[in-house]
Amino acid sequence: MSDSNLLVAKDVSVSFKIRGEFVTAIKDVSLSVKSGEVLALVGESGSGKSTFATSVIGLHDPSQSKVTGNIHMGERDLLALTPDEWPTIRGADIGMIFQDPLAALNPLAKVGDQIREALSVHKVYQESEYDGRVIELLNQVGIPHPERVAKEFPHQLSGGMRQRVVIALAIANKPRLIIADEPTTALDATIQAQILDLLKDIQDENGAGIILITHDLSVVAEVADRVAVMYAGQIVEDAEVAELFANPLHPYTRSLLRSNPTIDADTDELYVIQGTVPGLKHIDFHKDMFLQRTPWLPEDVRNEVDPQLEKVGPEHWVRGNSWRVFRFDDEV
Amino acid sequence: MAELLRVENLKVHYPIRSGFFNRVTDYVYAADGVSLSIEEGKTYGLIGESGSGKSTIGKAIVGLEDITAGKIFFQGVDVTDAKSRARINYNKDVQMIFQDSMSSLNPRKTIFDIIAEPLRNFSGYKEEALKSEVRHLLEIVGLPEETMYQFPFQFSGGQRQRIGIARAVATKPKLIVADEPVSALDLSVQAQVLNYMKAIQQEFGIAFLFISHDLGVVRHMTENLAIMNNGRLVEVGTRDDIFDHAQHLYTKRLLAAIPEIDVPNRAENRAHRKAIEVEFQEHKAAYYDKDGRAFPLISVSETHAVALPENYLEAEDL
Repeated sequence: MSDSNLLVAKDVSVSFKIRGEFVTAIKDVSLSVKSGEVLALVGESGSGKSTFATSVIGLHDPSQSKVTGNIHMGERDLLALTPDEWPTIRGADIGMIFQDPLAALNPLAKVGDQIREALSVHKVYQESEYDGRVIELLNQVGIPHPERVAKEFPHQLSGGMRQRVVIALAIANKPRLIIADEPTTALDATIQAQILDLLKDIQDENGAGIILITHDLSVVAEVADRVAVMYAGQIVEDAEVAELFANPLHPYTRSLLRSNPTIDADTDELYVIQGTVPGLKHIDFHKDMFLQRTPWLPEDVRNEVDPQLEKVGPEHWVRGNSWRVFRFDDEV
Repeated sequence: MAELLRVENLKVHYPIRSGFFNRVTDYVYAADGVSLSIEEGKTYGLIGESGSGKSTIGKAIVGLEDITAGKIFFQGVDVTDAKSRARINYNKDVQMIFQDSMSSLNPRKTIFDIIAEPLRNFSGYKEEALKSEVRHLLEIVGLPEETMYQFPFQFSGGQRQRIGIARAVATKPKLIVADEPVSALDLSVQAQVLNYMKAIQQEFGIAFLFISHDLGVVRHMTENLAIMNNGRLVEVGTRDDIFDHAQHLYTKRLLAAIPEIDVPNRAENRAHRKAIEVEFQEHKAAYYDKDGRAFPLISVSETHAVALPENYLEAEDL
């Protein structure tokens, strides 16, 4: 790992207490984000991508969950922080953008006052600078008439404008790392494009690192620099973005790409991945769980014990050996 | 191919009440003069952003929305009012699939009762016949027989959407209005639901009105489509007309906004998208009338019509 890494997560595992028992949701996830890099975390619902993100910003309730491993931001070990220390990190060093902007904003406070509050908590800026900074932020996220919008309430804004306000809040104190959890999933196509372009611009200007969580591969192809594909709580492939799309290797990545209707518009039938994502209690972390959904592969390939992420190219890691022999069911 | 459903100059206006005595002070023009025609056994795509009025059109067609003006014809019969719909059994022939599968399935009913309900309403089947029919419908959407006695919460989103499809197909309808049927689903599940929709279309010859904001999905599903903006259609045509020869600025902007899996060219795509956005902001006034609504459609070819101002073609030559 080089020194330019902004965030280094090593062997992060998270388990949740369900009916008195701890059940593991993600296991030994190792990732790193550099400054000025967009790392996309991709997978279906239930693959553990948001669970990882919430552990980076310490939002797991310690009485209901167990987080182990290391998450280092510079010299600081985030997992060793006490509840009192967290508020100094969240919103200052790490900004967060959520999927539903209406739920992320206070419905009773004006937009400008909410941004002002975020500024006053962290003291990165002087109080005399707040007014200017509020307008500057609203300008930066492309909101027209920022002076007027600052005096409005969230319900007076459209969905796209609200998401811009959430982004303004996330970048208010110039965080070094931004976590964006499905930031455009609830938005229309044209607004989605604008928000993605905006994230890219902010990253160019501020040099922040971004962890982008999404299930949409075309969004990944538009903005990501690196991609980590997750399945059933583990990373199955991790590669530089152009490399991943030019040369996808893991069976899961290849299946996901093939089921995307935007890629191959002319085929009559879309490729369907058999079966479903396993429930938490049914995950065996010593196996590659995706291979349960490829029953046509030979028994010994599917039952490989403890498959590891292995480096297969300069910027490319794949889990296990199944990719060496993988064929789609209609190619067998 | 025979025409199944024709919508003529459909208007749905919601009154806005305010002030003293709660008088009607203005209207929301949710649908404002929309005409379209759906052929038997074909899929027609209706695309628009949120608030464009596309769901209003769908609801008006199935009779869930009061129509302000305009006409709807089903196989040549005027079905604009409820009485005439009842006379020709229209409600059996036209069914709907909703976006949110959780809220469109009654949580206290078993899957059997949910799928059997339209059959009880329209077919007069006895219990035994109902069972075998429901079993057959579940088989079509790839769900095992045991699911009959389970409840909606026991299923995943994709499975619930397939139950919604089975219910819609139960009465052997001629048209299904599908309002954003896959936008709440994961990619792999979405593929499955879309395939089932295509399969039942082939098996039963059902026509779909496919309402969506996702141009990628629509490109996969439909031959003919209409782009809607602010209650009016801005462009109508075949898949080829719209995706390769779009003429309205709004359509071009919508197309440019589709994220593409094309990493080597993404910088150019992004520049193109931004250029179109600038063009849209600068020139949009020319594409809309003084009330900000699209102009009437003008045919530019046999299949392709665009909402351009009357003097547009001459202006282009300048």
